Amino acid sequence: MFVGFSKKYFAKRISLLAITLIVATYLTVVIANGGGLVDQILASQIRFDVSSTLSRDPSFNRLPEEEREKMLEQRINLAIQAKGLDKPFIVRSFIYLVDALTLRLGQALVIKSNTGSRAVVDIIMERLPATVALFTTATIIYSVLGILVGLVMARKPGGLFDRFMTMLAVVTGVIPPWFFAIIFLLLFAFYIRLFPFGGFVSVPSPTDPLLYALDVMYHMVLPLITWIIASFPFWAYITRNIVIQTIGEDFVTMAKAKGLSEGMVLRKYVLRPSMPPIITNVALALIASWQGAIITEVVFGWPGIGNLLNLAILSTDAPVVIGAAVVYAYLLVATVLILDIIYGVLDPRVKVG
Amino acid sequence: MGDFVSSAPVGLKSVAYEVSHSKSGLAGIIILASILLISMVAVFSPENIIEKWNDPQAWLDKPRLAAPEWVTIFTGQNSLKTVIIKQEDFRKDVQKVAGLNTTKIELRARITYNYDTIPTEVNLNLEIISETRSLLTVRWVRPDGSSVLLLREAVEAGQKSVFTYRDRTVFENVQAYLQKLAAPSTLSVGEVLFSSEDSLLKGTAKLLKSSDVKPSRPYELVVEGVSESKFFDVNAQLNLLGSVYGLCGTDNMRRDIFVGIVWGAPIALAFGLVAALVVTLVQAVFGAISGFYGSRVDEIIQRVTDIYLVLPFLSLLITIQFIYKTTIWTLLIAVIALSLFGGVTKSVRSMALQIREEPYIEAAKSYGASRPRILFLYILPRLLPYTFANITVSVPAYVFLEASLSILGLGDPALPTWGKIISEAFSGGAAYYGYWWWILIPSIFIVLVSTAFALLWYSLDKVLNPRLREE
Amino acid sequence: MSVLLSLKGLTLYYRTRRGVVKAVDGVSFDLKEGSCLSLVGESGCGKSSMAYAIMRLLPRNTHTYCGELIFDGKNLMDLTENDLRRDFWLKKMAMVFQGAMNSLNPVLNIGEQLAEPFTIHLGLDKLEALKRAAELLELVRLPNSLLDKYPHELSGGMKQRVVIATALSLRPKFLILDEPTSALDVITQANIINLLKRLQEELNLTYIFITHDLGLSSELSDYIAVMYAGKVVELGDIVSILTAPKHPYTQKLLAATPKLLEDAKLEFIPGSPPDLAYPPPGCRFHPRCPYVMDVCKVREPEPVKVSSEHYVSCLLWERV
Repeated sequence: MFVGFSKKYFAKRISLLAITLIVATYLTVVIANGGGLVDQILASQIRFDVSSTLSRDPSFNRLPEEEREKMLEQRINLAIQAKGLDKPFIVRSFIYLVDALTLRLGQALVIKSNTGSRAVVDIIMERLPATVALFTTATIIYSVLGILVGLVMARKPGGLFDRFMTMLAVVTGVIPPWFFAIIFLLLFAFYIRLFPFGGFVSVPSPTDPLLYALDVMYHMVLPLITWIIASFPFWAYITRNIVIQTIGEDFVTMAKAKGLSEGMVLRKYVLRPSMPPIITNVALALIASWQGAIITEVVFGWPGIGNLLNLAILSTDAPVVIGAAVVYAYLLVATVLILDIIYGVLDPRVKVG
Repeated sequence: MGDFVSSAPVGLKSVAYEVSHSKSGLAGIIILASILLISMVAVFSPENIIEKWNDPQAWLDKPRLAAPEWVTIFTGQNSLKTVIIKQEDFRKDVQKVAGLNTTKIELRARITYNYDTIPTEVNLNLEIISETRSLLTVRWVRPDGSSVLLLREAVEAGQKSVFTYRDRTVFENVQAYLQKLAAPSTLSVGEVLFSSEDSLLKGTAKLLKSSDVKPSRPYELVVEGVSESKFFDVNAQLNLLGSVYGLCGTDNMRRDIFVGIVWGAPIALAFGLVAALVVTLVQAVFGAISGFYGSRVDEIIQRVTDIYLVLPFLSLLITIQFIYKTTIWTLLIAVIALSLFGGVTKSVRSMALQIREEPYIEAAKSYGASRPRILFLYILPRLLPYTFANITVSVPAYVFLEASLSILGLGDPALPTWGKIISEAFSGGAAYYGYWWWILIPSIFIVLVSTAFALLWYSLDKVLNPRLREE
Repeated sequence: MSVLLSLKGLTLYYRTRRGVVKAVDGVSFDLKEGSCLSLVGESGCGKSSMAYAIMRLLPRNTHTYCGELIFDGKNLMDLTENDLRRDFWLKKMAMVFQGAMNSLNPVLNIGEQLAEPFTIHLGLDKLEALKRAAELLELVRLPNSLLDKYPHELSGGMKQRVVIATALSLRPKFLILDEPTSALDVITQANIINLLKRLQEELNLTYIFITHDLGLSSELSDYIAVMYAGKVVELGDIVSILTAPKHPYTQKLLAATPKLLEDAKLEFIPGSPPDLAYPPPGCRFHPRCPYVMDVCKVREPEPVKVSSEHYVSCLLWERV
């Protein structure tokens, strides 16, 4: 069944998300430049760009040392002026904003990508797949599990299982996944020795592609379990509350009076109409989950952006820290956009926006 | 994005009554009261623990990475707890050698040793007061009468610490002793010191307890100093460090984790409570204004909230901490600034929309009450129970936020917080080497606080959303 | 005319936090085929629970459900829920909910919701079922362009018509109308009542019409049953109830109903309906009754026949 999207609804949401992205990036840039950091980063980027273009120029290389130095400084100053970096901060900040938004994130000070590149964007993009893979797998598993458990809870509200899961949801709702991660490492990696202490693959890694994939999955199990246990009770609790409300609606009784089977009533008249409010309510949880991802990755040594951020903090590699913050803003906005689209598909009411 | 809440027409007093009379509410209150009590110890203690916490020299008389003492109940072993022979417990014997202007001082410590394990460290702290160099001899005498020479060397005046297990000279002397006995040279210093000479002769180290000889005799440490100085004095302190220590064990810098827990408690509670209280109240006020005033004000507040909700809160905080390296209290301000609008704004707004339509608000309007008056005297009080419930769930979230930043090495540089202890445990390889107490004990406290607030919330929610609790 | 529905001591209690709520407490009456009975009472007196009890649509917190419920010669109490689903609901009996509220699934379009009975019960394919759905819309005088609309795009009156159409999809001969007009404006209300009248004639339907509005009930009904605190306190043909009410509560209820042509002062009934978890002993109306006697506080009244089709449960009339 096709539901036509409301252009107005999406125009509104997309413009809002765009503003959010700009605000987040601008804040990052302004905060970071409090210590003059962005200025430095850009200046060194320009120096890098200029000297690498010049060094490819044979006529430049034929010049004597002193001349070369002078020419380099001249070109750098020209480039700085061309970019407007000699302007007051308020103007510069917007130049930085545009740079950050277009992912021109400068050169890292210490960290290199596996391919040897020092460009922050290369370093981050190399780590992005690992982060997204872990996050999406975990999210899909725990959301489905959460919704199923929520349905079981709603079957007997106030029962033993419901009360237990509610308590669990409230407690795990505030405990971040990395906390479970540390405890699970102690339990499963140290005492039971069932899972590795972290990382992405074993060292040395298997050469056979199939074995390699299996090895990655083996390393993924504990991070996944951690994340799922930390997150599914909250989804279950949200689902339970909304389903209980929906079950009380007249249309559910009416569906039953129409002679629909219980399963059908549950699917079409309880679960379907519950989905939009569930999505609305878990949006915040998903955003929190992204942030928790940073530290979960650190604890498990999972080679994603969170781990990169930690590495950058340890080695005081400011360009990478700032770059990672910008990429996180993109990830959050993209997540919310995807949720908005799902919401739009599930709830016909946004058709008239 | 409407939130899933409903306003319940209940007064604060009846809520307090219901909460304190429900099992979960009472349990939460009791846990919190006990933790508050612990915090009081730290708040009113005259000791400057914070300075001590960061001073590695202050913890030398504690064992490294010792488990809590109560584990001996489970292992059944009589493990060595810390034994410290203070300077006044040494027997001091001063002899002037006539004519030669030489002073000889002998210090003797007696240790009745009946533990099942050898010490993890035997450290001797010496203080030598002299004008000239003096000759120092340290001997170790076992209950069976055999003795080992640990040190014989000329030393300068001043403080001297001998970590016998790691000291080069001691090691060489012990090796020489083993050679004399024709015992294997692979034995560690500790094993040599605490085994009977018989067992060493047989090539195996066997722990010798004081009670193994009849009648029971102690170990003895004999320190002998000889100097020609006009004034000469030697003082000593002997630390025998075990594998267990105190209620909570110690970390890799020999710090007593119990101290960290007690001093971390008020910090955790203060940070969590202030953040939760301020953030919730500010968001609630904006929500109420948004719902009550409506139109343009509402539209602006709602859009700003939408933006705030998607802001990358943690990575912004990370950037702030990374660049400015602020203390926990400036961090608190940053946290509040990044949370002025949020989920509470949304849910309070929808409640305010409902309350606005109620007759008593109309009545207040009709007798000419001003809008701020209605907002603060009629609408906000109605929202208080919900606001309270929200504060109780968000306190632990902020306690964990501090811990999260600590894991990234961005916590407060000076204060001992629970989160910092956990993060130090993690980076100190506690999970990898199985120093469970270092991780689990602070974790238990952090979870205890979270559970207490969760229990409180649960009992509040039962009053506020009775519909969801019906069977 | 033959009796279509016969209740004997029908009882429905709910389990709640406050205790057991006696929503329907031993109700008995017969309903003739082709007639309309109005069930009248204040809100919270158990009217809607009566509807659920007759339909056997029990909520999950049902505590007690018993009595005799004979419909078309069969005791529904003896059947399983599957039997009801297969042979009764929608085929023989149906319920019309308050359409203006939340009787339609907000995420399914009207066509899908209307066509559902045909695909499920008759096994028709989607296209065929939609054709039948369009016919249903015609029956309730709605354009078939509504088929691909969603509930939020419809007005209250349109939604109510859709709900009625759904109830009639498999042509049952008995409908329970649960406050079908309460959330609608007066004009729409009148339109819906006219529609219901027309449908009753066209399809020879039997109605139970649940309302808190005595005036409205007189438009449609042949009989009126007055409910108070889970019990039917008076039942009779419309003329006797409206002209010669016997129960003090019915009298009060009539006095509280505005009349178009008279200029009488409106009265209200002092006190509020009792908490159904802890109803008063004896006659449940005694705390609010102007004619209360000592015996009312201890003895529960039995129905007394006052004329051929008029019964009242009141100790005042038992004495006579």
